[in-house]
Amino acid sequence: MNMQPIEEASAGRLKSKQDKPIVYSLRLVSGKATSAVSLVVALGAVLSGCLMLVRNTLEIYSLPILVGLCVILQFLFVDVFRQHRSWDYKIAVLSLVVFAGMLFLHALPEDVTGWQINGVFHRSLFASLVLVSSGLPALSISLFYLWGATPQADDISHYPLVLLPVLFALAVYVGLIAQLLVKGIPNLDWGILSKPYFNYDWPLKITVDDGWPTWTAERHSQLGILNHLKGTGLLMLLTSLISLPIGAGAGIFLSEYSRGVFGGIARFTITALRAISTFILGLTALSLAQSMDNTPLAGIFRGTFFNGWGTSVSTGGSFLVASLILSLLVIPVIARSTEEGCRSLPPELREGSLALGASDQTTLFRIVLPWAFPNLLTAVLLGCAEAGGSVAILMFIAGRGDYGVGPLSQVTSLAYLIFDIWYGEKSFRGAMLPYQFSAGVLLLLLTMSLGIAALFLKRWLIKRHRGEG
Amino acid sequence: MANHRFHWTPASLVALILTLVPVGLFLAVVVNVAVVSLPAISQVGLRVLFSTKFSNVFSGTYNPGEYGLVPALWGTLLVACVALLLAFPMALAMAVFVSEFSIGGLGHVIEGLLAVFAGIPPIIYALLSIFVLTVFIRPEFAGDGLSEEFIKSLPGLPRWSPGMLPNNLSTLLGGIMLSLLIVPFMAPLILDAIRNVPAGLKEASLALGATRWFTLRHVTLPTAGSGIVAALSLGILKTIGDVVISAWTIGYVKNGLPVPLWNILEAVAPLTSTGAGILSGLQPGATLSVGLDRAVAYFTALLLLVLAFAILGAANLLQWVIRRRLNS
Repeated sequence: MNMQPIEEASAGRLKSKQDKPIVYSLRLVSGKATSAVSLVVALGAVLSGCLMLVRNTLEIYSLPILVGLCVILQFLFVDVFRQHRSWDYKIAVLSLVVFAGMLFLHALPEDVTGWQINGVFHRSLFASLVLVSSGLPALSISLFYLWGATPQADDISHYPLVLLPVLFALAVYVGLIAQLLVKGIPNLDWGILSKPYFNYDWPLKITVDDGWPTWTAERHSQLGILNHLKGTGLLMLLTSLISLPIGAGAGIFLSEYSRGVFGGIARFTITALRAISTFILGLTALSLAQSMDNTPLAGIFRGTFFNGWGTSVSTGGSFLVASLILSLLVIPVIARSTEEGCRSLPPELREGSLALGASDQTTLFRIVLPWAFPNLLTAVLLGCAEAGGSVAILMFIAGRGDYGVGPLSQVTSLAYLIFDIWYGEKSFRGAMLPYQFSAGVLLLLLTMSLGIAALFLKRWLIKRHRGEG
Repeated sequence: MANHRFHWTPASLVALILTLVPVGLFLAVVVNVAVVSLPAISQVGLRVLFSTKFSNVFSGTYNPGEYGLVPALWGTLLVACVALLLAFPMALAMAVFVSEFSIGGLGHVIEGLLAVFAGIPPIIYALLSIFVLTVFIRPEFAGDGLSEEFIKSLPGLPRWSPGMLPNNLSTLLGGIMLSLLIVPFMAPLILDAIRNVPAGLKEASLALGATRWFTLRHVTLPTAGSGIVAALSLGILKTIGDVVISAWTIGYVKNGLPVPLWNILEAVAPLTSTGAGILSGLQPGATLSVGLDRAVAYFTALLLLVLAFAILGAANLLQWVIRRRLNS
C-alpha cells in the first residue's frame, strides 16, 4: 500500500530527466507498457503450451515464443529498476531459465526415446512443459508490476496460478463432451430408440420327414435399444423405491438417536459403504444371484424369460437383485443428505414445537422431516443418476434384455449396453458399434439432466419451504 | 432434543430397523467376499500375495495355478499416483477459486458445473478415453504416424510394437480418465473443508495486513488440512475402487512387473480389473469362471476391502495428528 506514492514519485523523477544515463538510454517505452507486453507474451506462452498437448505441430512456435519471452523479461528487469529503484533478481533468473529451456529444446531431437521405455516421446511434450513452467511465473511477475507492485497486486498476480488449472480442466471436460455429442448425435435415430434388440433362433416349421419330426429354426434379429432404455428406467424406479425408506430411516436415526454404541456402528457402516469399491458390490450381486440356484426361488434371483414353450431361468441376475445391490450404493447418499437436512433445522423450531406440547414423534413428522424434504428429494434424484450409470454392479449379471424388461427378468441398462458393445460377443459388437456413442449421449443427457434438476430443485424448494436464499 | 440416546418409541423403532438393513447388508458383503475367497488362500497359499507371475491363457506360457497379485497391487499404486497427481492440483485450484478467488459469478457457475460433472458415470469417461488416446497419448507418447523403419532406427528402444503402445492400453490413459472422474468428486469436499474454516481466523489475518494469498497459504489451507486429507483419501478410494475405467483403458491382466518399474506407458492392470478379468474368463462372451479362478477373483476384492480400511484408518490418524498440531 505504501509503495504507490514511492512509485509515483520515482516516475515523476524520471520525467524530470535526472536519471543515470545508462538507465535512461535503455528506456525504450514508458510507464507500464513493458509489463503489459510481457503479460501478453507470457499468456501466449502458457496458452500455446497447453494447446501443444493436443496439437503437436504447434511445437514449431515454441522457440520464437521463448525468444520473445527471454527478451521481454530482460526489458522488464531494467524497467522495474527504472521505476522502483531496486533490482528484482527473480526476473533475471527467470529470463536465464527461459534461455536455458530454449537451448534445451533446440538441442532435443524431434522424437525422443530411451529410459528403456517402449514409446516415442514427441518434442512438443517437453516444449509444453518448458512453456507452461516458465510462462506461469512470467505471467505472475508481469501482472504484479502491471498492477503497481502493491499488496493488492500480490493477490492479483496469483490469479493465473489458480485460474489456469480451473480453465484447463473445464476445457478438457467441455472438449470431451463436445466430441461425444459430435460422434453420437448423427446416429441417434428414432428407429433405434423405438425397437428392442434381439437376435435368437425361433422354431418355426416342424415337418415330419420319413417318420421323424424335424424343425427348421429361423433367425430373428433386430437392432435397437428400447429395452436398454426401459431397463434404465426400471432400475432407477426400483432402486429409489428400495433405498428411499431405508436411507431416510437411517438418516433420521443418525441425526436423532445416534449417541450410543450402535450409532457409531451405523455411522461407520454408512461411511464404509460409500468408500468400498463398486467392484466388491458387483461380486456381491453375482453371489446373490447365484445363491438360490437349483431351488424354486432361482427364477426370482436369476431372472426368467419366455423361451417359446415355457419360462426358463436366465444365466444372469434379475432387476430385483441388481436394484437391491444398487441401493447399497444409494442408501449412504440419501442417509447423509437426510442427516444433513435434519441437522440444519434451527433449534428454535424444534423447541417451539416441544414447548407447545407436541410429542417427540409429532415433532419428527411435522417439523423435522418437512424441513429435510428438499435434501431427501435431491438425494433421490442423484441416487437415480447413480443407479442408471452404474456398470460395475451389473457387470457379471446383466444381459441384453432381448426377452423383455420386468422386475423378474434379466437386468439390463443403457450403461451396461455401452460396456457390452465393447466387451460382448463379436456379432453384437459388429451390429451395435455405430450406436455406442449414441447410447453414451443418451446416458450423459439422462444423468446430467438429473443432476441439473437436483441442483435447481434443491435451491427452489429451500427457498420455498424455508424462506432462505 | 436432537441426537439424544436411543429410547423406545414407534418412530425410533422403525428408524432403528431401517438402519439395521444397511448394517446387516454391509456385514453380509464383507462375510461373503471373505468366505468365497478362502480357497485362494488355502489352495494357492501366500504365493498369491508375493509372486509376480500371473499365468493365464494369454500370457504366453500357460501354467495353471500361478496367481501372483503383486503386479496388480503395483498397478493399483501406479494408477492411483497418476490420477491423484493430475486430479489433486485441479480439485484444489477449483475449490480455492470458488471459495476465495472468485471473479464475479464465475465461482457459482463452476460450483454448479462441478455438481453436474460429478453425476457423469464412469462408463462415459471410459467411452471418452478414445479421444484422449487419439488426440493426446498417441501423437505425444506413442510415435503415432511414424514409419516402422524410422521407429526401428531410433536408439534406446527396448522392443518395437505397432503404434508403440500395446493394444492402446496404458496406465497413463487410465490415470488421466480416472483423474477426470475424481476432480468433480474431490473439489466439493475440499470446498466444504475450506468453507468450514472459522471466518474469524481469516479476518484476523487480513486485518493484520496479510494479503489474501498469504492468508490462504498460511491460515486457510493449514486449518482446512484435516478436511483436505479426508477428501484426498476418498479420492484415492474412488480411484482404486473403479473397475469400468481401468478395465477399458488399462486392460484385464498383467504378468510380471513393468520395465522399468515406474513405466506408466505399459498397461499394468490394477486389482479391480484383474479380478473382473479372472472372473469373466478374460475374453469376450466367455462364461463366468468357477472354482479356483472365482476364489482368486473374490480374493482381489478382499484385498481391496483391506486396502480401503487401511487407507481410511491412515486418513483418520493423519486428521487426528493435524487437529492436534492445530490445537497445540
